[in-house]
Amino acid sequence: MNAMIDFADVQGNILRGYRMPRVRYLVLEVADRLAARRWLAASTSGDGGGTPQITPGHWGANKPDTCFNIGLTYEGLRALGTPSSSLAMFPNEFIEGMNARALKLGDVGQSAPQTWPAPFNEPARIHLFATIYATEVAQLNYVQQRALAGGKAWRLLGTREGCNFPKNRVHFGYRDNIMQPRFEGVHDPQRHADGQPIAPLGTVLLGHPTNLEGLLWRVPQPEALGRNGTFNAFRVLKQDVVGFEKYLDQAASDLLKYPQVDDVLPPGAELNICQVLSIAPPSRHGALREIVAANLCGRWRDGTPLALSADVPDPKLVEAKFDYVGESRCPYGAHIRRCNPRNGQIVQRVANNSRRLVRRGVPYGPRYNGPEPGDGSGPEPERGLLGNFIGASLGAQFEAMSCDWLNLGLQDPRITGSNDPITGTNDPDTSWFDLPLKSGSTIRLRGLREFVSTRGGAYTFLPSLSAIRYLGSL
Amino acid sequence: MPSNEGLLDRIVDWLPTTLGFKRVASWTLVPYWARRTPVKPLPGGPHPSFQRGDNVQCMMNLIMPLKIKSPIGRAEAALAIAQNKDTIYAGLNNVGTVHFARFVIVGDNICMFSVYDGDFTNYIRDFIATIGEVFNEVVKLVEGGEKVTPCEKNVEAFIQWVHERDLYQVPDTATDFLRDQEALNGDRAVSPVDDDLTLLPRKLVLQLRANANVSLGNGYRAYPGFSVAQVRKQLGLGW
Amino acid sequence: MVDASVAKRLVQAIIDNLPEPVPGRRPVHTIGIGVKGKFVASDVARTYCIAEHFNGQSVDVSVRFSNGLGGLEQHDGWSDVRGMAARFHLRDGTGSDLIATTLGEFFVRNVDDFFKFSEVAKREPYERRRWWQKLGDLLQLKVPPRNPYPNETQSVDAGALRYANRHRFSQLGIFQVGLIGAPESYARASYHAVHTFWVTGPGAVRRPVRFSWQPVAGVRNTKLTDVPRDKYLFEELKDRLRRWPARFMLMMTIGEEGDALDDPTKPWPGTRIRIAMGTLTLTEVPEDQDAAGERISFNPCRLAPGIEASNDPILEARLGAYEVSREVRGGCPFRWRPDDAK
Repeated sequence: MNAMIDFADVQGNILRGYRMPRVRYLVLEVADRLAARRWLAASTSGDGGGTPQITPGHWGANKPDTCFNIGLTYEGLRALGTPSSSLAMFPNEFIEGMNARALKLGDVGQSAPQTWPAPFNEPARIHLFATIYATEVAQLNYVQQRALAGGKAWRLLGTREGCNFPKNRVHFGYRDNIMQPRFEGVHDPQRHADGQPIAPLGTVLLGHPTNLEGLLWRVPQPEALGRNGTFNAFRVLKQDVVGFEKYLDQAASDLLKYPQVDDVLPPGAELNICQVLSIAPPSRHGALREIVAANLCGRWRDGTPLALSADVPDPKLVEAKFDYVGESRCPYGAHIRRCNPRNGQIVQRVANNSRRLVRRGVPYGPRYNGPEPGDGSGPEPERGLLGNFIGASLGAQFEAMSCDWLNLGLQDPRITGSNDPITGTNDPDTSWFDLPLKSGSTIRLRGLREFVSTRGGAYTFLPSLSAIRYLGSL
Repeated sequence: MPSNEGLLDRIVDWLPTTLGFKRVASWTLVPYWARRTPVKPLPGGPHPSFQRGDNVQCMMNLIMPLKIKSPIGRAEAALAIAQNKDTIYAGLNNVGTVHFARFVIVGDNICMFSVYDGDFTNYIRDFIATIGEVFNEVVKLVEGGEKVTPCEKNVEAFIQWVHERDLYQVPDTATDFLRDQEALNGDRAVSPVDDDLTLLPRKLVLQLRANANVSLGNGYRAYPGFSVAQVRKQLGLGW
Repeated sequence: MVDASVAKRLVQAIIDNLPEPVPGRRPVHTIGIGVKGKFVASDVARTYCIAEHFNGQSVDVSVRFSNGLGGLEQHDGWSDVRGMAARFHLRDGTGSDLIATTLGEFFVRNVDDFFKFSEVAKREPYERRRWWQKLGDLLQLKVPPRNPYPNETQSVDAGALRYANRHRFSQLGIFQVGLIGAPESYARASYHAVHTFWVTGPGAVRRPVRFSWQPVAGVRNTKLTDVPRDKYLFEELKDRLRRWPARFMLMMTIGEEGDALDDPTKPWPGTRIRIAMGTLTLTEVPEDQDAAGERISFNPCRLAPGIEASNDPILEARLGAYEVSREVRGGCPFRWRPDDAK
């Protein structure tokens, strides 16, 4: 089981990021089963002309111009005619589909699946996600055209497209994608030593040992189908950027009125903060906004981890390793700490480092550059993140993290009962977040609202190339 | 005429209170109506909910029939637990989300009743990771247990197996019970509908035939709404 | 705000459904008894609510227990909702009211539902079900409806059931009413205020809550099979308070995000945090029942600063309806500020 991983067999977007700025997701339905199978066989055949080729984990000497990968939903596997004995071996949450798991994931209210726009409102018809990575829109169009050429295999239900911002920024102004899990046997030169243990391959690929000692996730049989595959939670996450910035304004104004505001922001400290974050002219209000933003996330908006530098952002520390042991001034309820508590003290002690995820995301929608003058005329364009959360077990990793850690805060009694400040479905009447002070006491921020709403998503299986060939030969 | 209570009126009022009538009704009427108006078994465990108060102090009522239905079988089960006391306590202390847990032998069943926080599958999975061997020893004594042991290699199947043996929690209110039955049939209408509330007794009887063991209500809590770690922290016990 | 004409229509709908008119009296909860007592808040009450009666000092309380059915005939033993209306007397002469009933949830969500309900659930002749019909019920595994009480000729039960069969949101309230029975004593029943209120704690922290009175002596109902007695509750209460005081705990349940705050047909589950807010001790039944029981007009929206009504449409409607009803019967006017007339 511990053999060297065969990179040519695994889809490329699982163990590495392509760093291509444009991404388009095609949501497809099987139109004709036999044609779809032929298409799958052709996509792994090495034939350059017709169907786009699946990008494997190892592309030899030259990086391709565009990359192409697929993911299948349970309905998709069924539509392709996968034998029911194999289908029964897929995990429950995958079979039910993301729409049915809404309560566990916190997709309620505005995020509820009943409100999702097409094509996510008809989950039974979503069979395959084809992802195209490229540098130019023209390339995306070209690959899409080749993928749908002939029109026999698939019906296009919808597309979603995103484009990276410079310097890895995402909406809400944070820098993303700083840390990803590092894996045994996988050398990616762009990784930094991040202080976290090397993750076993079973964190992200089926058929390999997992982080929980002795536990193995069920590999759907036959072996070719399941091994080296993985699961992905694809989510369309709409971000209320205007609302978020307004909240920072409100919170900063409230803090300015707080009698011990100097404990939060010592007099004069705003000059440093504003300088590093390029806020001109420097002001206490502006600096407090950044302090609130940093505490809600766990990193300053430039990426400096709060655990290393809670008073001022420091570009040199962005990629430094850190942990939540000892005197860490990162709030217990901060977003990145909830998602990944590293070696910090958590209630479920056996679960440290067991719910790690590979995150591949790309923002969609125009960048927000501050309030336009004379605003309030048209509605805000939709902005957000097209997120992929990859792990070998949806239940043990993505869902477990979403349910117990993000939404309930069970891992730390100081945050139990509160939802994630950035992604949670917060209600302004009842939400709260504790901001820690240097002295050890906390200030409770209230009135957080729902900044991130789910506008679609699906659980997909990312098959290995052997699995794609197997499906093509059914 | 209505105010005169005739003999037949009195008989019909007295009949349902007799033991004999209840027994005969159980043998004849219940199977008849079970065929005419079949009722699906309802799933076990706490009702899925997003709200925080519903996700702490959740009840698990696990009933597992033993393979060997005799004092020897019960003794084997008792020993399997007793010999692994240390393992069990280590697991409970380190998973950190269990308020109370107890193993009980009732008749020829080994039962496990516990009060835990958070998601059910996370709870069982974290226990498989820490005390999986104890699960293996106990579950191999249970009917159908060999299919899902060793639990570390059959994680998903084991969790499903436990979920199937977790009792349905009859809601505290009768009408929520009707909603449960309707939801199982995909009926989520609110108004206007065409129900018949007088059928509630029959629906309850038939459901208790499909789910023979149930938890009545989702339990009484003296201090609802708090997780294990919150209680320990508040009392200064370390968590 | 529910406008005055709607409030008048509401009261009229209730009056129209009475067996006979009751000039000068309340149209429902007509029969009642006034009691005096004291309320002492628990040591944590003030950390949840800054209202004066929760600060820990002993507060005088006027309570009126009542039978829900309208009309002048007293039938204590019939299955009926009981009411417990309490006024906490504040230092400046104003009061804070808390109106509770033994029915934990209402059966309609808003005023429109209530009007439709009144059209469907009218008083109809109520007769004993024939023996062969009862046999048919038993063979279908149904429970036959109860026999009418002695002298009971009309009832709204059948109409209410028809309404419940058409509207699922009403089923719980109507079902509970059907089973509510008669308590052994007014002091041995639980009373629930049903509607959500917002309480403000120190630091301007607001929480949505629901209140309930829990009897310290425990809940005890008369047996359904016994012949119901018509007048026993008043004597029982006087007798009881002569021997020892009757106590109630005020329990406050805190709602969460996602709970039905403005829907009185939905109860909150037992997994919500419950706070023990204090103890009410009832000490005597005053001689002057006219002042203590009749000429005291409660209103569910008369609330001390620190407690506010939610957007529950029925609660909003009750504000107006109670006012109209008070005017119609010539009861005591609403008193908001200390200089208003009592």
